[in-house]
Order: sequence, then C-alpha cells, then structure tokens
Amino acid sequence: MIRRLPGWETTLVVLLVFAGAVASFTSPFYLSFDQISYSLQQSIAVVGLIALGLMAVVVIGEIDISLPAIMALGNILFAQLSQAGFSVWLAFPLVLFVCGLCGLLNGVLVVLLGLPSLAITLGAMGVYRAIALLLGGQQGFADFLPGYFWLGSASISGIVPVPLVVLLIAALLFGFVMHWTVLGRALFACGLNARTAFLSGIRVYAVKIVAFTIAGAMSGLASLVYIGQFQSARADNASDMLLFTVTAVVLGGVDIFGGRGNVVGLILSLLLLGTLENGMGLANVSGSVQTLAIGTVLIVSVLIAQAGSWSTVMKRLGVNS
Amino acid sequence: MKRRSTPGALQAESLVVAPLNRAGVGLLRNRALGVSVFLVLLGLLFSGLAPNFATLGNVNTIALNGAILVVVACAEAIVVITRNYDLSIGSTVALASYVGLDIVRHFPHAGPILILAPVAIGTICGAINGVLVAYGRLPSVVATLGTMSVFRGLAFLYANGGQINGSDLPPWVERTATSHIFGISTLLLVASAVVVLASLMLGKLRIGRQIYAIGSNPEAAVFYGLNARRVVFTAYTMAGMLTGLAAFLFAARASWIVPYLAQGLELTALAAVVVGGVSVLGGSGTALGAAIGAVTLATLDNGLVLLGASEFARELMQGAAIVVAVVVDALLQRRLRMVLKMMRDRRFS
Amino acid sequence: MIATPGTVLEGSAGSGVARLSVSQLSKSFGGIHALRAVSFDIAPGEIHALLGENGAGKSTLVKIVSGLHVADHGEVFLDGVPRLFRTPMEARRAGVVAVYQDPKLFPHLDVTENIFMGVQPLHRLGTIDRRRMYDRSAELLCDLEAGLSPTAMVAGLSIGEMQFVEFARAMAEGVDRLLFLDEPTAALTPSETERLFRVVRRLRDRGTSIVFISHRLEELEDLVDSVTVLRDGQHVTTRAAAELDEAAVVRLMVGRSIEDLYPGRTELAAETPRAVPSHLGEVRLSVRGLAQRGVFENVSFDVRAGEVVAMAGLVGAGRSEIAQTIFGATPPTSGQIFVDGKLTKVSNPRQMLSLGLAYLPEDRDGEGLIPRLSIMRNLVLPIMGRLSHFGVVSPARERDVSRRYAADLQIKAQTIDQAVATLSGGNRQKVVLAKWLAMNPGVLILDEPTHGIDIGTKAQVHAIVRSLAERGLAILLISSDLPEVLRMGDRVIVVADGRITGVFSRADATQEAIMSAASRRRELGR
Repeated sequence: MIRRLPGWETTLVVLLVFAGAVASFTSPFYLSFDQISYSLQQSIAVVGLIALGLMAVVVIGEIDISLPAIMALGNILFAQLSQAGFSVWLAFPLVLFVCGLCGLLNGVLVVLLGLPSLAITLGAMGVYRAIALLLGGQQGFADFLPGYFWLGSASISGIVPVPLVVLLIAALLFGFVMHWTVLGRALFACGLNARTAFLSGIRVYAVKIVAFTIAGAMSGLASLVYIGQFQSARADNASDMLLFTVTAVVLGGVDIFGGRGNVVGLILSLLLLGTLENGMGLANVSGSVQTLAIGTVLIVSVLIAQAGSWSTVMKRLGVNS
Repeated sequence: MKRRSTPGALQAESLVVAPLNRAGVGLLRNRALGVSVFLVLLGLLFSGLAPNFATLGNVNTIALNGAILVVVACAEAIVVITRNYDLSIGSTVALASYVGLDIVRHFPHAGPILILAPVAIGTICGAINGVLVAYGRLPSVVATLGTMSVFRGLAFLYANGGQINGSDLPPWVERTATSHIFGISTLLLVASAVVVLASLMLGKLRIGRQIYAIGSNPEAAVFYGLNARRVVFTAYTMAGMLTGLAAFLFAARASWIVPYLAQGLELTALAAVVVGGVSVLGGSGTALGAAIGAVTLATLDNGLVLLGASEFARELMQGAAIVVAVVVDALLQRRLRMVLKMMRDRRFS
Repeated sequence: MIATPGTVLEGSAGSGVARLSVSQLSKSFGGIHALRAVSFDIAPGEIHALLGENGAGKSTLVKIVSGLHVADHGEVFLDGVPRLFRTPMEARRAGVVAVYQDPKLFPHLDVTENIFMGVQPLHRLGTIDRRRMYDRSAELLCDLEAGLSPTAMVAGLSIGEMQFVEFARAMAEGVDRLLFLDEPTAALTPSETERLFRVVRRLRDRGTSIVFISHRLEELEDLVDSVTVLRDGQHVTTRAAAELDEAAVVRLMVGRSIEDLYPGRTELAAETPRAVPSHLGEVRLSVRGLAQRGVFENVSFDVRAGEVVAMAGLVGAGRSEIAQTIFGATPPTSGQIFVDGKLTKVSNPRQMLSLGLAYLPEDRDGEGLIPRLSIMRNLVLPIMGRLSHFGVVSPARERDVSRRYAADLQIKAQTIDQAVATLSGGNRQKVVLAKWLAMNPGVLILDEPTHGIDIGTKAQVHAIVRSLAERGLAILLISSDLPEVLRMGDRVIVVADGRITGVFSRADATQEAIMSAASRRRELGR
C-alpha cells in the first residue's frame, strides 16, 4: 500500500502525544496507567473492532453504515443465547456467524445487484435494529450466564484489560490479512480499479462480498466485547457509534474513495480519538459537545485528506493524455 | 430495413433489453403515480383492518404528522436528485428550532416576521453542507455525517442545559400549528405550499432543470456551460432553507423545544424520498413524489400504531421500505445505468 | 422549416475571407506529437472532409478549435479574426460547435430538455416557457427529419438517435459558422445518413461550413466540396474533392514508404519485416462464428504457435470487443472458442488466464494498470496467488520475479517500488507486458500495444513480440498502425463494422488493400 501524505501516521503520533500532553495539563487525573487503560478500553475497544471491519468495506470503495446495528443485533442475540442456557463456547461462534451473515447480505445486495451502498445499508440498518428490537424488546437484558462477560471485563493478570487485548489481536490479524495476504492485496486492487483487477484475474465480486462479510463478523466480535463491558444488552444502543467509527477510519488515513489505507494508522487514530474523549470527559465536557468535536475532526481530516491526495494524484496522473 | 448498429456493448444490450425497457422508461416517468396507487391501496388496507383508521380525526392526525415530514422530504429530495445525500437534516432542525425560537423568545413583539430566524439558520446550515460537498469535494455521506454531529453539538452548546417552553413563546407561534384557514390546517397549507414551490422550482426554473442535469450526468455539464459545483451548492442551500422552515413548524407543534429533538429525522426523510420515487442514483424524481412518499410513510406508521404494532414493526417497515424502494429503483433503471456507463466510457477516435 | 431567417452570413462564399484558418497549430501530449504545425483553410459555406488514419490528429484539431483543448503553438482565425476558445461554451456562442460520436446527454431527461439545457426560453417572470421550448424543439427535430418525439426520454434512444439530439442542440444554439461532425454516420442507418446529408447541405447553402471527420470515403464522395488530409499530425494536402478519387485519397492518407516513415530514426528504419516463420506450431487459439449481438458477428480465425496474426481496422470496428470477448470479459452471444484444441466455456478472465490466454488492454492506464501502485505490485497482480505461500504474499518471490522481468524488458525505472504513474508511456506498457509474460501464457492478445509511446520503446516492444513468437507463443496483435501491422504480422485480418472483411497473407498485404478493407461499410440489407 502507498503512503498518501508522507507521514500521515507520523502526524497522528505527534497529535497523539500532543493530545496526551494537553489532557494531562487539564486534569491531574489523566496521567495514570489504570485511568488511561480503563478509559481506552471503554471508548475504543468496541468501536475499534467495528472500525476495522468498516475499513475493509471502505477500502473496496463502499460504505456500510449498518455495522453498529449489526452489533446491536449481536448483543441481543448473545443475550438470548444466554437466556436459553447456551454455553459461552457455543454462543461466541454463533453470534459471529449470524453477524457475518448480516454482512454477507449487505454484500450481496450491494455487489451482486449493484445497488448504491449507502442507501442499501441505510435500509439494512433499520431492518437489523428492528429485528434486534423484536428479539430483545425495549427493556433489554441484564442477567447473563458466567463466562459471557469475560471478553469485556476481565483482565490478564489483573493489569491488561482483555478488551484492549482483543482489539490488539484483532488489529494484528486484520492487518496481517490486509497487508500480507493475497486477499488483502485483492481488496486494495478492487478499491483502486475494479476493472483492472477483473482483467487481471481477480474475482472482484467474491472479494467485495467477503469484505462486507468480514465487516459483519467484526461487528459480531464487537458485540461480544460490548456485553462484557456494559453487561447489558439493549436494542437501541450504538447510535453514536457510527460517527466515531467513520471518523476513526477517515482519520486513520483510509481513503474514503477506496484503495488505500493502513491498519497502523487506524489504530493510531483510535488511540487519538480515545485520548480526546478521555481528556474531554475528565474536563467535564458534555457528551454532545464531545460529539461536536468528533464531527469536526471528521470534517477536517477528510478535507485535509482530499487536499493532499488531490494534488498528488493530479500531478502524477497528469502525464498521460 | 435492418437497423445498423455501432460496435459497443450498449448496442448489444439495447437490442436485447429494449422492448422491456420502453415500458421501464414509461414507469420511471410515472413513479409518483405508482406511489399514489400504493398509498391508496395502503389506505384501503388499513381502513379494512383498523376500525378507527378512516375517521376524519385520524386523517387529520396523519396530515399533521405528515406535514412536517413532507417539508423535509422536499428538502432531501432536492439534494438527492443531484446524487448526493443530506444526513444532517435532523440536527439542522434541532439547531434551527432552538436558536431560532430562542430569538423569537427574546423578541416577543416582533411578530411572525421572525419565522425568518429559523429559516435563516437552516439556510446557513445548508450552505455549510453545500460548501463542504460542492467546493470541498467531500463525499456527501461523510460531510453530512460530520455536520450532523456538529450542528447537534452546537444546539446543545447553545441550549446549555435549558429548554424553551411553549409557554415562553408568543402566541402566534402556537397558532401557526393549531389555526385553520378556510377550514384547512395552516400546517397543511404551508406543507402544500412548499410542495408547490419546490415543484415549481424544480420544474420551471433553469436552476431546477440544472439540478436534474447534474444528477443525471455531471460530466456532460461542462459541454453545456453548467457550473456543477454552483448547482450542488445551491441545492444544499435551498434544502437548508426548507429544513429551517420545517424546524419552525416542528417547534410550533412542540410543547417544549430541546436540543435533542428530531433525531433520526434524516433517515425518515430519506425513506420518504426513496419511497416516493426519487432515485438515489440522481437525476430523477419529483417533489410531489417525495411528498407522497412522506404521506405514505406517515400513513404506514399511523396504521401500524392503530393496529397495535410495536416500535419494532414500525422501524422494520421503514428500513424495509428503503431497501425495497432502492431495489425496485435499480431494476427499473437498469437500462438507464447502462446508458450512463456508456456515456462515461468515452473513447475518442 | 427552420425558424431562424435564412440570411446568408457575412464572410460567405465568394467574399474571400476563410471561415476557418489554422496556422502552425501544434499540440503534444506528454511527448507524443498529436499535431505538428498544421495550417490550412476552410472556406465559408462549404462541406469539408477531414481525413486521416487513427492518430493522424483530426480529433485533436477539432477539440482545439471547438474549445476543449488548448494548443501549444499556433493560431486559429474565425472569419479573419483570431479566436482561441477556452471552453466549449465560448465556442458555441461564437457559432462553432463540435458534435462527437459519444453523446454527452442527460439520459434522465427528455429530448427537448437536453436540447435546451442551460438556454431554455423564458417567460418574462423567469420561468421556463415550456410551450415555446417544446414547439421549437419539434421544429428542429422536424427539420432534421430526426423522427423523434420531443418528449422521448434520452435513455430510451439508440446511439444514432442520441446523435440527432446532439445535432438538434447544435442547431438550437444557432450554430451558424462552423460545425464539426466527428464520425457522424457510424451509428446511423443509411436512411438516417441520407437525412443527415440533406440537412448538412441545407446548412451549407445558408452559409455554415461543415467539417466531416470520417472514414467512410464512398459516402463522402457526393457530399463533400473539399478535402483535407492529415497524416501523423501533419498536414498533407487540402484540395477540392473533385480533384481526388478514393484511391488517391487512401494513398495520401497512408502513403509512405517504410523507410521515410521516421526520417533520421534508425531503430525502426533498420527493422526489417519479420521473416515468415518457416515452421509454425499447432493451433493454439481457434475462434469459430463468434458473435456479440449488435457488436460483431461471424468472427472465425486461428492463431498458431509461433505466429503473429495482426488484426487491422479502424477505431470502433470492434476489434477490442472481439478480443475482450475471447478473453472472457464479456460473454459472447454465440460462437465457440477453442484453446489448445479444447472447447472452452468462457465465463471470466480468470478462467482464460488459467488456460494460458492473456489480454493486454487498449486502455493502458484504465484497464491494464493501477497507476498508483508500484511496478512490482502491478506486475505480480495476476500471479499473487501463485507466488504466495498458502495465501500469504511472499515479497521475496515477488521481488525476484519483478526484477527479472524488469531487466528482461529493460524497464527504465529507479526501483521496482516506484509508482507506475511516474513512468513514461513506453515503460508503463512494458510493465503491462511484463505482467502478462510473468504468467507464461501460451496465447497473447495485444490490443494497440504501441499506441502513444515513443519510437525507441516501440522498436523495443516489437523486438520483444518477435522473440516471443520465436519462443512459440501464439500472438494476436491488434493495431491501427499500418506500418506496424505490415511489419509484424505474418497474416493480417481486417475487421470493419464488426465483421472480418479481409484476410491477407504477408505477400498480399499492402497498406492500400488493408485500408480499403477497413473502410468497407456493411451493405444495405445484409
């Protein structure tokens, strides 16, 4: 994959350090391992998993806004399985499977029928949320069998929170697939020029559908962590997540038009956003203002990305008639 | 005499698909008709199933609930026709109604002229969207997702924990929602006026036709001397203006105004627009269609409530409606999309 | 029936001032000279044919005069006044319009809206006067004898009908000075063509000058007043049509001896025509009765191992479509394809690649490469799987393969990690070539492989193709470059309008013969 702006990731690192510095200035509570790890795990573990999945879809040049809704569905399903007495070892893969299936459905509609991805996933979002409501009703669940929480609440040797470990492992795996496997290469190629990829023997349809399915499965994984963290399942959670997820992806240097991106950048941007949230929370900034901040970050980062890549692209491709 | 044809994939397709698509082309022009038929059927269905559906009072409820949706649907339609989206409508309504009505609250004697306050704010919001999408060249999804949160955040900031009570406002505000002119609710009249004006703009003004042109084939624009960016900017600004008006109507009907109102309104607006025959691929659809779509959604929701359906069912309907409408639209437009593709894969000799 | 009064224009025939005068017009695209110091005049009120092979510079000239491109050097005079239009709209307002083959219309809107977009007649209040608009549209369409309803939706029209809409639009804006028609009859039925010619004659009589770019020489015979021939970006001649016959025109269009083709350039001049291979291998690719409805039909030929079959024809004849159908990018409507003697059920390129058949697309940057990726990444794109260890990419192997082929093909670049976009056209082509060669194909289809690249690299590519043939590959070479066809092809198949119109052995192939066969139009009723 190509570096878009020289040092997009470097800039993120700098910003991250800067944000951390500002946070520690504005609040004496900031600079503590426990505080930081707790806050990060709360804010970016679940979102990060969804953002990884979203990255796969954005890389092929599409978008899927139903991912948070798939997560909500996963939540409810997980809860139902608990109620039905399933062992956690059965419930985990089942949820992943169902959520992956939702992603697959999105993929089929968008890729095979050639439908515009925003509109379709918008509708799908409503459908998935509704199904979650159907299964879960309004009130949500709170009693779970033991073991269901482990992914979200335990910590390894009492220090490192499992959610962050899950995120890390997922990011490593995902990054491996995206940057070191034939599938990953194919994803990027399809996002850059699907026609060339097709004429080079890549199975474009299959690859694109796989991207959507992976995104769905990642949302399923996110739902497993979510249950552990928040220890309840309600059908209408995850509305704010969409903004955070999309911002994380864009800020992470993934080109919104497809074909470029880097998991390292995504993780850095998640850390940066997490620190922002942490700092704002400690400074008693209200939730909606935090949302405002994130929205602004989204707009600004896309603008910068556009400005940067535009001139480079124009310059380079201006050569051929 | 045999028709000669040019080498090119389109010609091959056209010969095979042509008979089917003459009909498809006809259908495309009459989508509004199709939705109306569907609406009537829906009405009949519900009258049969629910006893209190077909009462004057209920129809009135539908009308009042639908009126505001009609206005935002027109706004969203204008944007969608240019092949863009506006996901910030709900937040714009919140910001415009809060700030706008706060201004009204501060100047209780200024009179109805202050309707311009929320309208102006809506227009500014729309203009911001327009700048980002048209001149900043941001994909409209991302841009309006961002402004969605920014506008709402601004509303919260401005409100600073407070709210505006209906009782704080001068009486003419509430009267807009409750009064009747010649026996018809003022709200309805306003909504109808919006539909008429939007249709006039889209159908009879040059800018309106350019909105369709840009949505249909932006690359052809330069050959016609059309400024694609200015057209998109204008579309968003006009949409913002209508959203501001909707914000006022919303506030007029509400007992109190809080910054978290109208969440999810953009989704409903998009559903109305799509159901009403406006294609998300751009270039087609009418304000009237969007309005009928809005009324259809309002009717659907109302009927389901009367039938005792849960919130789940209503949300499912909305989501399913979008998916079905988009699929139908894509199928109907198969040939059109091929034509577009042909026009894009240009080969100069 | 045309509503505008038929006043004859100033600067009309006989007044002595040329309607269009270009002087020393030059334009290059990234090192390729499209136009070289072209100068000629077009008289007012005449029908003028602009002829030349593909790449002769005709389209570039039109685009410059009509405001799409800006010339590097030279001047353009309209009725004696120097004018250089910067946008098509400026040109339109001055009465100069070009109508191209590919329609630039709005498919969702109807014919009338397309004609009047941006210039709709208005009521006093500023709203569109639909009645006047539709009336005027009906008049225009009637005058053009277009046979179209003013309310027909453009998406439902055939390409020919869309072109009539474009003509109507040109007329609606009062094109009264200069009208360029680029291959206008390619998509028209014979009767539509007659209609068009009638209109064109009428316009000419009113004082407009019309320039036809066309290859249909026999059509133009009765229509055209004078002719300009361009060759390789240079002006060859401008003469009255009466002075020329078809054979003479063809000679002017292509006539050059191989040696004085590139005077001073020894590489190509030193190239001798390929020796006819003494011993050809088996048939590796065999096509029977291949057809794509509406695009091409009845295509049958064989390519043997060690053979280079050249496929000549005009742009738009359907050769790329044939190639892409063989490669599996589009399914054929009928016909059979045999690879190494076995009938294939063609479904996609991946399958054809696995059978050893590779296709180098005409659109290098759009279909052959991903310019933003590195040389290496582009090169290994089709063989990533083969080079991987169970799906995990192996940079070592990829680098190895890439270096080898980059060296073999002499790709000029600093590293194989630099983006292909930074390479010259010739080197980019080598990357695409390397990409397919790395797959070890048995059959190679090359679509315009030397289009738009410099002479030195051209020669290199030819050398590569020759050595491939010697190694036993079966090669189908699609080319619009006649000298290349003659030099490289062991056999020449000529395609015109989707049909094979000539097959020549090395001995019989001459430029004139090929050009004739390429210009042959499908006859009425067949």
